[in-house]
Formats: sequence, structure tokens, C-alpha cells
Amino acid sequence: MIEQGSPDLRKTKLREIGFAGLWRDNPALVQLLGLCPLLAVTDSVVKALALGLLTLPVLMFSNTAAALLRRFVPAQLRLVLFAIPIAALAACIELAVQAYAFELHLALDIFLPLIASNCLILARAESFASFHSVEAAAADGLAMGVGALLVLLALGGLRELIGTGALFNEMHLLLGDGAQAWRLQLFEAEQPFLLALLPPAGFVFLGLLIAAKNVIDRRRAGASHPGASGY
Amino acid sequence: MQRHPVLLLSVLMLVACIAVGLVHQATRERILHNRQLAQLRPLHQLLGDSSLRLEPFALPAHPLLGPVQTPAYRASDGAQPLAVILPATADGYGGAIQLQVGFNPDGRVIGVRLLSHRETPGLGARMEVRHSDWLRQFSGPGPWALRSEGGQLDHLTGATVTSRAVTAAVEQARQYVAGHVTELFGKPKPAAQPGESDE
Repeated sequence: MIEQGSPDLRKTKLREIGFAGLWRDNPALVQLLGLCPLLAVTDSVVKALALGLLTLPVLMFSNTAAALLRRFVPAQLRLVLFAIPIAALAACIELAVQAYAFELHLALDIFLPLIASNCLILARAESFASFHSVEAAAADGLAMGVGALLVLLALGGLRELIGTGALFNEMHLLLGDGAQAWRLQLFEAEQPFLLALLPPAGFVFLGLLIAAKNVIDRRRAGASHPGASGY
Repeated sequence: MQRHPVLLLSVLMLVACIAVGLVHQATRERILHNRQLAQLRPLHQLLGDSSLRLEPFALPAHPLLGPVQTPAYRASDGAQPLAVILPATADGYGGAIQLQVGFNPDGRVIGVRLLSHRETPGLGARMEVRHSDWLRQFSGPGPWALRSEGGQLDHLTGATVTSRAVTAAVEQARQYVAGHVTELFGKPKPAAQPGESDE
């Protein structure tokens, strides 16, 4: 337990949690959790960024709540009980987005309320937060959320760039009208490359990202730990 | 509390309900407002002027308009009506094609908007604005007819039935407007508004 360790040990643990979320156990690249929204919203940077940013607080909140409640909850009821605060927060976030960023709500469509059923959130609450301190659980939520966000961004960027030749289309949906000028046209596409924009391309590009991660892991592990890249 | 999971469940539910309820209260009006704006935006685009006030009004059934399934809208600058948007139904190749047609007080067509259709993809479906400019031809005083029938409109290649149906529906709506200027716009108002017919 983290709270009982020395400050150094605590730091090491937190660093460990951060590394796990961002890289070693990355939710999208290794655990392959929450793929449905991941594949559906990554046809543009703005949608990917928005869903990543909105999932992150839910994940942190649910992990914190799970860690707080863990002493009071019998194991069989964990899932049901954790689902309540998660669904409530997701509902509040959806209402807020409808009120303050209506076009973003239209763009994200069903995947906004579906944050509540993102299996990444339940999985972290169930498998990590319910066995760890509040601090560690919140850190895990942050790390996993950022890890998922980075993969979302990478996929969204790749697909938008290859599909339309531009990056940061329609950023004003998320960041206000000032961001309309962010659009970067990197090459002129006579017609959008539809394959990159349609959902199947999400699988293809995710596969490429996973392959890239595995290659990097293998290089890092070197010859001394063959197979350390795991999957 | 581990012995009383029902109590914990109830407390959690209560807190969750209160939280969602409060957020709902706080955001309800903004959300309603946003929804209305989102519904009206395409109509403003059709008229080319987002400052107009749009109000739905009941349109009596009339053979020239076909079955009315969407409301008609009257656009005004607050004082007098500057345009109306009428629903029109075309009998397309794959069934009914729902349209909205915007008219100036002098009966000129401002633009036509496609609401729904079941035309063949690649043929009739190419009338969608994202595929072709065909619907943009409908701008001006009319009367509307295809070139093959002595009119001024090109038909959509490979989609004669669709082209004919849409043209007929717009023409019928134009005739309706021509016959009901007073009902639609109040007093007759001859002067056209230049610039308003532009997209």
C-alpha cells in the first residue's frame, strides 16, 4: 500500500503507475479496452481529442470512487455499485456538452453517453482501484486516461491526415471559434480518401500502432529479455 | 456497511439522481435553445440570412403541395415577412422525396433543400448538394421545367425520373405561392430583395 511507504517508495510506485498507463499496459495498445469508441471517433483529431478529454475525468472519478468505496462493498456487488457513479457522471458530462458545445455533441453522437459503458472505466475500477489506495487509484485513472487519449490523438491525426490531407479540421467545435485557424492543410486531396475515414481503417491504423509499440519494446528489451514485449 | 449493501446502493442512487437532476436543471434551457437553433440553421442557410426570425405556421392542405409532412416557416425581420419556406413532396423513382422550398414575397425561389429521399445511389441520389450542384439551379422566378420539356433546367444524368419529379414539385409549389401571395405574406409586396436570392 502506497500510503505506508516512504516518500521515495511512493514516488517509485506513482512512476510505475504512470509508466503502466502511458506505455506498458496502455489501455488501447495493450489491454485493447474501449475499442468501440476508439475506432468510431478517431476519424478526426477534434473528435478524438474531445472524447479522450471527456473520458479522462470519468476514469479518474470512477477510480477514486471505487477506491473510496472498496471497504464497504462486497465483491459480488462491486460492478453494480461502481456503475452508478460512473453513469451519473457520464450523464452530467453529456448534458454539459449539449449545453455548451452542441455541435460537438452532434459530432460525437452516441459515443458521448456511451462513455458510461466504456469497458476501460469499469475494468480499471474493478481490477485496480478496488485493491489500491485512493491516491494510487486516481493516479492510475489519470495515467490510463492520458494513455488512451494519446492513442486516440495519434489515430485521429493519422486518419484525418491520410483521409483529408489536413489536420485539426473543425477544432472550434471543442476550443471555440478562435481555433478555426488551426487547420493545417498538409497536402491537397482532390477527393477525401474515404477508406481512412471509415471505421475499418480504425482497425488497420490501430494494428499499425500496436505493431510499432511492439517493435519499440523489443528493441528496448534487447537480447537479454527475449519475448519481453509480451504480446 | 458491507453487511447492508442495499443501504449503500440506495445512498449511491440518491446521490447520483440528485447530481444528474441538478445538472439537468442547470442545463435544460440552454440545451433546448441549442436544439432549436440547430433545427433552424439549415433553414437560415437556405435563405442565406441567419438574422431572420423564423416562425412555423400551419399550411392548409392543397393539391399543389401534396401531403404536408413538415411545417412551413415564415421568415421575417421582425416587422414584415421576407420569405416563406414551404414543404414540397416529389414523387421520385424510389418513393416520396421531401423538399423544402424557400420563396421571396415576389414568388422567386430562393433555394431548395432536400430533406429525405430514397433515390438510387449514384443516379438520383446525386441530387444531394454534397454530390452535385443540381439543386442550386432552382434560384429565380421560374416557371420551372426541364430543358427537354421546353424549360431551362438540365436534368441529372441518368436520373430523368428524379429530375422530373423534383422539378414538378418545385413548380407546383411556385404555382401555389403565386396564387396565395396575400395569405402567405400578408399584403402584396412587389419589390424584390436583391441579394437575398444569393446563397
